[in-house]
Amino acid sequence: MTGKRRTESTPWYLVVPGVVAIAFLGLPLLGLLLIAPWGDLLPELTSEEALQALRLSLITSLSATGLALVVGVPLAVLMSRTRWFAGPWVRALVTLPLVLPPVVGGVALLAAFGRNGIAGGPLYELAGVQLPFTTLAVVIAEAFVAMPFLVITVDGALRSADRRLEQAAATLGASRWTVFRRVTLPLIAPSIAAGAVLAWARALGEFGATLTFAGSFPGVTRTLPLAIYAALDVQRSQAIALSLVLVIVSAVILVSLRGQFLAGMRR
Amino acid sequence: MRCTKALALALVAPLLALAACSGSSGADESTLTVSAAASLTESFTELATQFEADHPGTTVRLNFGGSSSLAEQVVSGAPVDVFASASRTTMDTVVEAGAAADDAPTFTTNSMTIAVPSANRANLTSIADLAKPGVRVAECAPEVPCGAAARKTLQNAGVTVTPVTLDPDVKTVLGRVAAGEVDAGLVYVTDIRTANVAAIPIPADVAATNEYAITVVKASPQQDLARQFVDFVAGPTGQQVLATYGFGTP
Amino acid sequence: MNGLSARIDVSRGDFRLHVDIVAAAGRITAVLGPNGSGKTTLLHTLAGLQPVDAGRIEISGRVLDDPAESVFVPAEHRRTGLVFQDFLLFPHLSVQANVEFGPRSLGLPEPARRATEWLDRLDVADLAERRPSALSGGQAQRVALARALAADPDMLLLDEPMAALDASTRVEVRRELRRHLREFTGPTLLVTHDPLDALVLADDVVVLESGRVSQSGTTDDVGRRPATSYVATLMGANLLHAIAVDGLATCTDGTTVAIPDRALRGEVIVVIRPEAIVLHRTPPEGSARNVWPVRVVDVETHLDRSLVQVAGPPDLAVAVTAASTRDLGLAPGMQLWASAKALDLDAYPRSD
Repeated sequence: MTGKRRTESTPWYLVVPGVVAIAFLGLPLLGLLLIAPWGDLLPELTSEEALQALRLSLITSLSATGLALVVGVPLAVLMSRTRWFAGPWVRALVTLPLVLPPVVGGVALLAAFGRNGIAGGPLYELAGVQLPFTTLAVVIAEAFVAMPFLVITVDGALRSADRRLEQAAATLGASRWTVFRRVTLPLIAPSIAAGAVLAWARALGEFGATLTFAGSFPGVTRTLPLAIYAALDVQRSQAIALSLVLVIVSAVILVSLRGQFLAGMRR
Repeated sequence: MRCTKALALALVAPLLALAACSGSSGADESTLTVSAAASLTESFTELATQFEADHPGTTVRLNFGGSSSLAEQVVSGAPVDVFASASRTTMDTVVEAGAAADDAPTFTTNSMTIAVPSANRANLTSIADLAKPGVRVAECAPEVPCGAAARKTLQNAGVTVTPVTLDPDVKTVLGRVAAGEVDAGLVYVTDIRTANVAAIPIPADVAATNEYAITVVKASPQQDLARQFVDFVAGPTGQQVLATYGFGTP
Repeated sequence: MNGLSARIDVSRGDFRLHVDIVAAAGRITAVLGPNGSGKTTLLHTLAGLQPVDAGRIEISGRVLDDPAESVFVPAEHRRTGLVFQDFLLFPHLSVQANVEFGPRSLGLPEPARRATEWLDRLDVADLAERRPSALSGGQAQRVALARALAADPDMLLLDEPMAALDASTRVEVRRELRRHLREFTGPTLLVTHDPLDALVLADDVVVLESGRVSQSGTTDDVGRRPATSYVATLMGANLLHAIAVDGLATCTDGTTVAIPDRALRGEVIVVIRPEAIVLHRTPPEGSARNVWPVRVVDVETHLDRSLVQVAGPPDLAVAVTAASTRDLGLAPGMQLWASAKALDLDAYPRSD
């Protein structure tokens, strides 16, 4: 009904470039589907390396999402509620990992948490702790690139939320913490969920920062995207099978996210 | 006619096409197109300059890249006069395809060495030290040539090493060593010169060695000039220049 | 004193609110003013959402805000029940949970029972399980009032309680609200730009103009003796106390007025806006059911508009254009006819 009306009011000459855009985005995926080793899919995906990479990716991406939630939601609240955190510098800092090449992110993480990094150096000298090449490093790299998605989503939700509801809660005698817990948080819950899912999808697909900061070793740091890259030359069909898994999981996430967003708006 | 064919290929290799066009235009001027493995970048650039000085009127156009993709171009008829590969196996595919004008001799070698950060804080002195506990070693993944060579070298030395990372290429390994994030990395001898790292030599009988092969491309219209370049590289001057970059004599 | 006494001086950019307001316990005080007169700022300072720059807010002897004494009680400790213009019920909570919110936050005993009790007193107990999005405007207003009252406030503040409501339900809701506000024993402050709210709901009126109080007093006093033209225009509405039977209201002086609502019975207040009355030199023939012979007592002209006081019965204030004043040759002592259509009148029961 609404779709019909929209077609009528949209200039027809937008259809051609629109279809070109769809083809541009869709053809590579179609190609992937066509060259997929459908017959060998199950053995390829249940091989030791594949399962190892899948398991590692699942663990690290979920941990990265958890990390992003624990520190990202408070940051978003501060950004939307305090002048200092809302400043252009904090905003740029939070957005930066979105636009940086992930490899640069990896180099930056090494400069911070590497053995000679500003934080990693003392950590190594004093405690003997080395972050690079550990599974924790993978989680850090993934959280670094994924957190902006969560922070920006939640910050946006907080900004568009009605502050007067918080005022109403205060006049009813609710302390700041009660207001946050019982009013603010429930109001932005759909956005937190959406941001977390988005961040998880980004963490799942992380490659550059992970390779640079965490390395690539089966079972320890070689996540799905790294395993795909490693297998590309010699075990092409396995690489494609794994790629397929990543594409399907991401597609399901994005499709479900759309529903989530709409649900959040209808509230 | 020849130019038209080159233009058709330009879709795949635009630089090569340009080189071929200009090469056939001047009568006295001649341009020699050389495709060489990326690891030969520094040495061949120097050699080309010397060759041009020895042969006035000749311009050498250098085209560096991964050996296998360069080989693929040569076999599919790209206008290349000389092809130098970093691997015997890769050169074999060119010879088998009948694209080489000779039997493509080995002109130099490159072998494995241990790269350590300049500070060498782990105090490594030999290949056996790589097996010490707590020593962090980076290797190429066994699927790529440098990883295969690293694995073979360690096998030869009878040393069992658990690397912390299996990287997709030798540059990544070098980067980790240079940044001091690993205590050692297995790389090619020639890589040491270009990076900010120190080397711990591996005995010649232990270090895995890559053979570099060179050939005149069969389809080249300048067989004589191409032959002169190959001979120059394999000759005393060429060997001397290659040695300064860490390459070995075959 | 027992009630609210506030001396407020607060600036926001170019705007300055500088008022003294007193509101007695058990009485409803309307703060009447046009948009931009400082009504919202006033409510925010009273509720503790914004401190005063200078002055003192005190309720029944408890100081809530006084910069001179470095006292500022924040909103959550103030115990002021604030009913927002659009009610602002928490959309993620049921009606019951909304009303329980205050008692729970304050740690009052038996919050659930308390909430149920207030929902019951405001006749919305049957809506307890609903979400706010499933309420009508009038229902949401009652729930908001219940939510505010359940938190046991020392003072009740209402921000434009009628503004978010449908014009068609306003009369009905206003009538109910008047009854429900009587449930509260503390001072009630009601902020509005609609004089009808003040006339029907409030005992006292404070008129706010450009951040200052231009007049205050009982609703009747202010209506009878407007101090500024704004107040005159605003408060000029005629109020008639009458007994209604079958669409006919009989005033104490014997005048009868036809009213639109036939269902209304008993003591009522009939509100006739000055604009709704037409003056004629000869007895009018037409559809207007209310026609009274009157005598002009006073003519006061502000710019292009005149307010004419006529003596009946009933005594009425009539608004006419300055041009009509000239055309009719209006002057004190003139005998005229006044008419008003029944549909142009509002009638409310006197339920207190």
